[in-house]
Amino acid sequence: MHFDKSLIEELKKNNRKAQESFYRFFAPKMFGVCLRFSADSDEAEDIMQEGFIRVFRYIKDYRGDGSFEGWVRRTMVNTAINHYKRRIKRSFTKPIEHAGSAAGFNAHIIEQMSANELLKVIEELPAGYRTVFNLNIIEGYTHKEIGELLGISENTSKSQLSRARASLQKKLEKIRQKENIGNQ
Amino acid sequence: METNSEHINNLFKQKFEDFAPQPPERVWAGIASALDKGVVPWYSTLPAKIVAIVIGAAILLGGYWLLPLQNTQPDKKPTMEAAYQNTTESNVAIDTKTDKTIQQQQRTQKQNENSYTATHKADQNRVVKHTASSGLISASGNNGTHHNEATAAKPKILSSQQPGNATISEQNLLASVSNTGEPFAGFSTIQAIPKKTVSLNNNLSFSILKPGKVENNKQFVTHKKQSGNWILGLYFSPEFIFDPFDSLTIQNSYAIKVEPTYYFNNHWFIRPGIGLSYARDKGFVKADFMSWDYLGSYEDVVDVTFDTVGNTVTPVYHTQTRDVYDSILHITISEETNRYLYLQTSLVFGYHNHVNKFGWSIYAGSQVNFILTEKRDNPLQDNQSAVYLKYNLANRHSPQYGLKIGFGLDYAIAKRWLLSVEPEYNYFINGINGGDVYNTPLSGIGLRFGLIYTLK
Repeated sequence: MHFDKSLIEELKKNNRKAQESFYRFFAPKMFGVCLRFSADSDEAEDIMQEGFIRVFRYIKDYRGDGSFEGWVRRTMVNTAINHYKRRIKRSFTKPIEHAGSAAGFNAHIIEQMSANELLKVIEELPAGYRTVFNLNIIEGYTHKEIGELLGISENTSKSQLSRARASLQKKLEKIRQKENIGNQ
Repeated sequence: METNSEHINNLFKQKFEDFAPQPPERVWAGIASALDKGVVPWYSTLPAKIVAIVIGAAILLGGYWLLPLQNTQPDKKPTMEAAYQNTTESNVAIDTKTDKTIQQQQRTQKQNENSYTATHKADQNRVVKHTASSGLISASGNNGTHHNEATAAKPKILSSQQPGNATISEQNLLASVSNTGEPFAGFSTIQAIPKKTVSLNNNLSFSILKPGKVENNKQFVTHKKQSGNWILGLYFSPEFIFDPFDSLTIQNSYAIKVEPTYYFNNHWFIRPGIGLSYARDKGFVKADFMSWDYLGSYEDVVDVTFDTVGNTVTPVYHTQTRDVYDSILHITISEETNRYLYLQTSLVFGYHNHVNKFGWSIYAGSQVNFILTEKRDNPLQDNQSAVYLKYNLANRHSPQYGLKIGFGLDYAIAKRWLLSVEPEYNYFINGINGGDVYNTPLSGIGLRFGLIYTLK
């Protein structure tokens, strides 16, 4: 689907058919983004619903510079961040695991896993780790940018990422051990 | 050359690059529904609704006493009308025996002398009229076949409590209304806002206001008779709760409440109430946490190669930068505060009595408190993660049920205004905190300061 100016104009006019076409086109990709930032599918649905509503409401602010998909994706990520911030306001306790070194990651395990399987592991991460991991590793934000987005220091962002990696490594190791036992 | 870390990062990125699962259909349904509803207006939010209810209740109660008293004349019930010339005031008098409304109305400026006219409408066909002018009272009746008049001497003023207030001897106002067959039978005491009291036939009395002296009436400050009245009180009360806990201190709470009171008669009343209360707890929090502070970095040797420079073998160290984080378990114990905002509701029954400007009351009833919002201090910094967090601060539960008993003293500061002080004892049946240790019945004492307005 090509998003020309006329379609964006239709979206700005709140044309429901245009909105639905737009949603059908972007929903799978954006759902993938939302799932990565969420602990489960329900939370991802909430984030996506809120994100698309924001897209439709604020599309008038889209000035046309830059990729339209990028703008939608950023809106989705920002919605996920807001969701995370609201969540940590309600509860600040979270489980913690000791950090390890990223150097210990077994790339072979990751290569063999599907996106869905990796998603399951990422979903198990504490919300803070998961958010920083997604922002830095997948979305490509720098620690400085993450610090500004989440209201934390750059070093805290680094720490969170380090812990996220350690936690992921541990979980992947467990999966590998299970697989090994299964193969024997 | 790509490091292992970068390689892992790229692997994750690639895995999710084309990750596009199909969302459930209900997501679009939810979006469409939200778009149909549009932006939720601020007045639809819960806080706005609560504020609207409180303001609405205030307007309703405030508007009730601001409304001018309406003249009502039942079509078929006997009605007494009294007109006092020289004033434009309109007053209402009540026949307490027969529950018939007597109204003083249609006052004109025709004469400067004290005179009044009383009209008794027994039914559509009969009008009995009494007139007093220049010290004479005349009464007339007309039922279609009779027309009678009677006169009496000028009323004798027995006492004058304030300028403009006088009591008139009932003996001098005896107006014999002959040939009417029904001279005010059934009427006994007629009570009205003015302070002059006139009695007719020992069965009829009503009060009138001296012309041109309306302002003087305001000087007479005392408790109004309250039978059937609503009064509206605004109360502020600090409250102290006795807590038996070692590690939890329940601090004073502060409440502001609006309480309309209805008097069944001159003494007994019922008082519902609604208000907001701010409460705090102080207790100790123990937290085990990891700080994961970034401490620095070092160069880790990952490989060593050897080069020959000239005839000398020189080792070449290949390093990788390693970040170092604080991974030691820390423990902190700190005193923190919990803050709560309650919606308080109450219903009490009581007895009130007064002597001149002073009044006293006792009351008892129940209350139910609901937590609207709470705020708990976080003992950790934003870069610290709790491993184990134990709150000695118990959560307060909601709703809280309580019984209360109180004693009140009040003082009339103006015609309709009173100040009151009410020491009060509260017993929280199910305690105020949740949990095994803290969920125990508690007692509290409060001191309520009230500003009270009599509505009618």
